[in-house]
Amino acid sequence: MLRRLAVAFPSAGLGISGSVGLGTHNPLSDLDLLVVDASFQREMQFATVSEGIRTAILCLRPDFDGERERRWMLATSGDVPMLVIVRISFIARDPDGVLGQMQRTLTRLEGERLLRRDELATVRRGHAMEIIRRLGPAGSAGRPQLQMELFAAIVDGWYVRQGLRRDTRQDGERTFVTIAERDAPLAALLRQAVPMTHASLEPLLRAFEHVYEPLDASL
Amino acid sequence: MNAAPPPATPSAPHLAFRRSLAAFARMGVSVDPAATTLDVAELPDAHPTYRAIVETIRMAEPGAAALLDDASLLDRTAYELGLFARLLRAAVSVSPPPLAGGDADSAAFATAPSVRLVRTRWNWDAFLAEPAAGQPAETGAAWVLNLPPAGPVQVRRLHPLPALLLEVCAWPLTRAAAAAAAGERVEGDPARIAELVHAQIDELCAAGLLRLHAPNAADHAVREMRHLLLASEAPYPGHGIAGMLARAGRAARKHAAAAAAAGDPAYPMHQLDVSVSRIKNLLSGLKLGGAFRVELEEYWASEDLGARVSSVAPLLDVLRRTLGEGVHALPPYVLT
Repeated sequence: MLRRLAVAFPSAGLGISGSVGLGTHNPLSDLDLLVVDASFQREMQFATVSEGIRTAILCLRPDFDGERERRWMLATSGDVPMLVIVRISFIARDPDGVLGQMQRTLTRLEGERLLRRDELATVRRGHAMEIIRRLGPAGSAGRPQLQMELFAAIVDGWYVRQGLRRDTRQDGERTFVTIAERDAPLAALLRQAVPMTHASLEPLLRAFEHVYEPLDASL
Repeated sequence: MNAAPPPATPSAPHLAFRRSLAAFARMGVSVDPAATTLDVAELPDAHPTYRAIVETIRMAEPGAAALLDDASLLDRTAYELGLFARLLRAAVSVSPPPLAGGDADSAAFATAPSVRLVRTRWNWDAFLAEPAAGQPAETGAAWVLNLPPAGPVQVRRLHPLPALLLEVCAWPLTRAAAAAAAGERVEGDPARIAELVHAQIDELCAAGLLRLHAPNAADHAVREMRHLLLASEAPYPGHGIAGMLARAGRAARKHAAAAAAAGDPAYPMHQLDVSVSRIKNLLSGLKLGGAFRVELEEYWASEDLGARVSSVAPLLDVLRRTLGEGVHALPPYVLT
C-alpha cells in the first residue's frame, strides 16, 4: 500500500501509525496509515483492504496550524485522535519533510501539555460541570448520552492529572485496568456506571467528586 | 395558539409491503400499523407499516420470527434503501468515474456502489403463487436492488448465476477469477461455466449492476483518493455521513461481540455505548432518529448486555444492509 501511495502522491509524507507503527500490533491488528500532502484540497479518511489487512488511511494537509492544535489540546486535554495518529507515526517516507515538521510541532505542544496539566484538568472539570448542570439535580432521571460525555470528561481529567495518555486502541482497551492499578476507588465507581443507563448518574457524580472536588449542593 | 395535532397513524397497511403482508397472512399473522406508537412526522408514509412488521418479527417466537424475517426481508430492504436514499446517493455520486477497457484479461469487475443483493432462505414467490402450499420451499431466492440517481429503488429477481456473480464481485475479480469462484459453487464443465460467466458479466455491466473496477481494493482506494482529495470542489455536502455511519455500525458490532466474549466486559460495553451514541447522533442529524427510536430507547433503558445487544441488533443489521458491503462497505468521509 505504501508503494502505491508513494507512486500516486510522490511528494507526500507517509507514516505508519497505530499499533503497527509502535510495534505493539498482533496478527488481528488493522493497519493505520497517514498521508500528508500539500496538493490535498481537503482532509479525509479512507478505508481499504490491502494484502488482506484492513487499512485505514488518514489524509491530511501539511499546513498544521499550531494555534489551532493548541486550542484543541486545551479543549480536549490533548487526545485529539487525529493528532495522536500524527504524533505516534513511524515516518516511512517524507521527501519534503512535512510529516517531520508536523511531529515537531506536536512534540512542542506535548511539552506544553505536561507543563500545563493542571490547567488542562481545570478545563476538563469545567466541561464536566457544564454537563452536570445540563443533566439536572442528582437523583433525577439521567440522559445516557450526556452521561457518556460526563464519563469521558472524568476519565480524560484523571489521565491528564496522572500525566498519562491513551495513544492506541490497546491503551484504550486498558483504560479500566490502568485506572484500577492506580486508583481502585475510581475504577469501582466507573464500573458501576457501565453500561450507561439512567442509574449511572449517581456513581458518575461520585466519580466526578473523587477526581475533581465535592459538588456544590445546589447542583 | 394550539399546537398542530400529531399526524394520525394510518390504519391500512402500506402497499409497499403488500408482498410481505400476503406472506404473513398465509402464516396466520396480521399486522396493524395503527398499533405502532411513533411520531411519523418527517418519515415516509410507509413507515408505520415498516415498524409494525419489525415489531411483529420482534415479538414472534424464534421459529416463526425467522420465517417472518425472511418473508419481509426484500420489502424491508427496499424500504430501508429509500429511507437512506439521500445519504447513499451522495456517497455513490462521488465514486471515481467508471474505467474503460473491459475486454482485457486483467480487467476486474465489482458490484456497482448503488447495488444491493438480497437473498432469502425460502422461496416466497412460489409460496404466494400456490394457494394450496402449506409452507414455503426452502429453496432460496435472490434479488438485486438498485438505487438509481433519481426515482424509486429498482427491484429485480435474479437467476442463480447473476446472483452468484454479484455476490462474489463484492470485491473486484477478473473474469477468470469470477469463473473460478463460480466453479467452486456450481457443478459443470469448467469451460462452459467460464463461457457463461463471461457473457453474464457483460450483461450485468450493460445493466449497470457490475462495473469495470480497479484490480483490487487497494488500487481502488488510491483511485478514490486521487479523485476526492485533488478535486477543487468539495465532494459532498454531507461530508460523507454514510462513511461515519458505516464505521460506527461496524464498531458497534465489533464491541458487542467483544463484550459478549470478554472475561471483563466493562471496556467493550463502554465502547459499545460510545458507538451506539454516535449512531444515534448521526441518525438524528439525518432526521432519522425517530425511525429507530424503539431500538435506541430500549438499548439505553436496559442494564443487561444481552438485552442491549438484542435491542440494537436490528438497527445494526439495517445499517449493514443499506450502507454497502465488500469494497464499498466503508465510504470515505471528509474531516475538514
